[in-house]
Amino acid sequence: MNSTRSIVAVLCDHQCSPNGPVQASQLQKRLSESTSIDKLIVLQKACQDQEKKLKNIAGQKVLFAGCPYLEESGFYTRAAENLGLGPGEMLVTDVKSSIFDLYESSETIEDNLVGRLESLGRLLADSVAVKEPPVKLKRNVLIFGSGLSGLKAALELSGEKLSVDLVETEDQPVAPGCLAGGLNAPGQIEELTEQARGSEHVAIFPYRQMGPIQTVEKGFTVSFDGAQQREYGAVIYAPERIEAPAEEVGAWNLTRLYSRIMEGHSIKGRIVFILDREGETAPEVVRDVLTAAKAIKERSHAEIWILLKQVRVALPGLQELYDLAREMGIIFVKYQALHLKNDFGDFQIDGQDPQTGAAFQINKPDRVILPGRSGLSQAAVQVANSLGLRLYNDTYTQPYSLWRLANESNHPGVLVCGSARGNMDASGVAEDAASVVLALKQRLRGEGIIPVEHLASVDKDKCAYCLTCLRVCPYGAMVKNVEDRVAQVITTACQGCGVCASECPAEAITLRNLSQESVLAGMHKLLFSSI
Amino acid sequence: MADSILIIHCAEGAKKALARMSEEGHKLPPQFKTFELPCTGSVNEVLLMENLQNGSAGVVVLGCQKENCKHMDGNLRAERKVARVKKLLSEAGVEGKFVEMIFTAPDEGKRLHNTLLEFSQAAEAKGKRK
Repeated sequence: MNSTRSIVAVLCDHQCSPNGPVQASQLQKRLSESTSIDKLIVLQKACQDQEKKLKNIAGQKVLFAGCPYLEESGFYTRAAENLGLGPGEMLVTDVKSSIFDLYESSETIEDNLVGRLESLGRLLADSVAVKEPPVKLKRNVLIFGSGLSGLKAALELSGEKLSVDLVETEDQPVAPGCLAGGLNAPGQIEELTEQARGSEHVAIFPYRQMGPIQTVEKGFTVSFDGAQQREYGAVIYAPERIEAPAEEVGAWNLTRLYSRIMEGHSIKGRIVFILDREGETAPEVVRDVLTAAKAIKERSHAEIWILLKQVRVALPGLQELYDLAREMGIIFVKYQALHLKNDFGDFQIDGQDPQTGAAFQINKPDRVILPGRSGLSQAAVQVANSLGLRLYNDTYTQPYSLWRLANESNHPGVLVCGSARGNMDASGVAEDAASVVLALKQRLRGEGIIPVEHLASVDKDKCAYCLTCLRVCPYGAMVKNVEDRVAQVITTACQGCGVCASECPAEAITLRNLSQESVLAGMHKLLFSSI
Repeated sequence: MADSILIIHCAEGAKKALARMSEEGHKLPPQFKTFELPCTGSVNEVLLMENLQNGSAGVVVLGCQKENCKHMDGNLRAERKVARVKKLLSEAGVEGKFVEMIFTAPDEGKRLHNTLLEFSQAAEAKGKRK
């Protein structure tokens, strides 16, 4: 759209209307001070043959304001035809049909009208949608984490002739490979690591050599072992999830069990998994437990008990695993209260059935498995902090319930991949790595990343810190910025539904490409097109 | 323009319902205008009032079925706002203008068509009585 054309407001001095409170002369005075309107023309009775006078303003953008009779008489249609105006070059507003006229003073109406005309004028001036400018970035990528997701992403990117630096975390999980890769995809980690070491585009550094990550204008810089700073266009955050050790002496956590299975030890005897001990175990951990139990059953004749409070089938595929486990003869026991006697590794379990109230006992199990709390390592948390990533309970970069968020984080250029986004199995990790690579390629091509079309943003000056948006946002995409005392949007979590914008009492929240003004103007156009 | 009816619909279920309606061959009379928003939850009182003020005979907010909103409870929020505007209109004694909320499933093309037609007929009848 040609923005050099000036905006002309045409106002009808509608003295003909019976109780017209708005005096055109007063409006003229106030609108002449307005910056968004270049020229103001006042017509005496526009309904009566004024089209000749309008011919002077042909080729400009025009804003009409008049009484409802103008529309009925077809004045606007004729004017649009005569002046050759398209739908985006002409806006119409009605000065007299306010249904609250009876209750408002003429000054309020005048204020309203001036405000409306000004906002419509601004809209005519720049109705071009906001677009992020293209970014040219370094074709180097830093990947933090050498788990399944990190390795997969590194290999895919090296296939694209991008040079990749992979950071190996020192405090690796005990199991060979991360929890997701361990039993779901045996041998894959080793194979991928070998491939990565053989690739000329991938360089692997240990974490202890890594200096602090610094954010520069178009990317990030890191120095390894005090050497020269290396520049990166993007950082992929793909740390491995690690599990806390089991709290009881002599008990194993899942990681230890996994590593034992992977090393080829056969696990025999009576094995008891205890879930839901401290609050509810996450369904993904339940999946890990079932996978491990299945693996043990496949390798030896063990007697497996799984004690839990509630059966969860929330994850895709979990129901099948349950059915399979039942078929294999794994015993599921629901308990209400559980007492764990531990005499240096000699366990005795006293439980109570929730339905009958009957007590049950498991004497001297050979092995007790207590899944620990899973999360990120200290190094991973440090790196997340230096990248400006927000972590929930030091575990995930997203709230637990949100699964549809993009890989792009709130911080431009930082992408999150794999276990840090939530618990995934091997196939989920592979999909995630592929989507990260796609997003990164898009970013490096200079297309920029637009998470959602109608992204919400908060005007800091207007925000009253009432936190209404925090309450109403269905996605938890609003957070408190305690320092500045304003609400803040997590851009990756925002889905652009606009609930916050409509609920905000201070009108501080606007949607990208969908401001209240543009919506109103769009509706204006729509109604106008029917004449 | 005086008797035009604006349909504000969401970009999810309601949009699909409208598409389904036209696919099934049900055409709406020309006074119906449709306007899309990402979710009906982003409708507010100002939008509804402004449209009535701009001369449309009525505004219909078309949302997904209850408990079926993509954005969790956007349609219920819209319903509350529509109820508030209705109350305002009746308090101010405005006649001949209406605001309504309709919940629709994406496959209810015919039902939606019938409901919308009822609205336009009722509006016409009101206009004639005036």
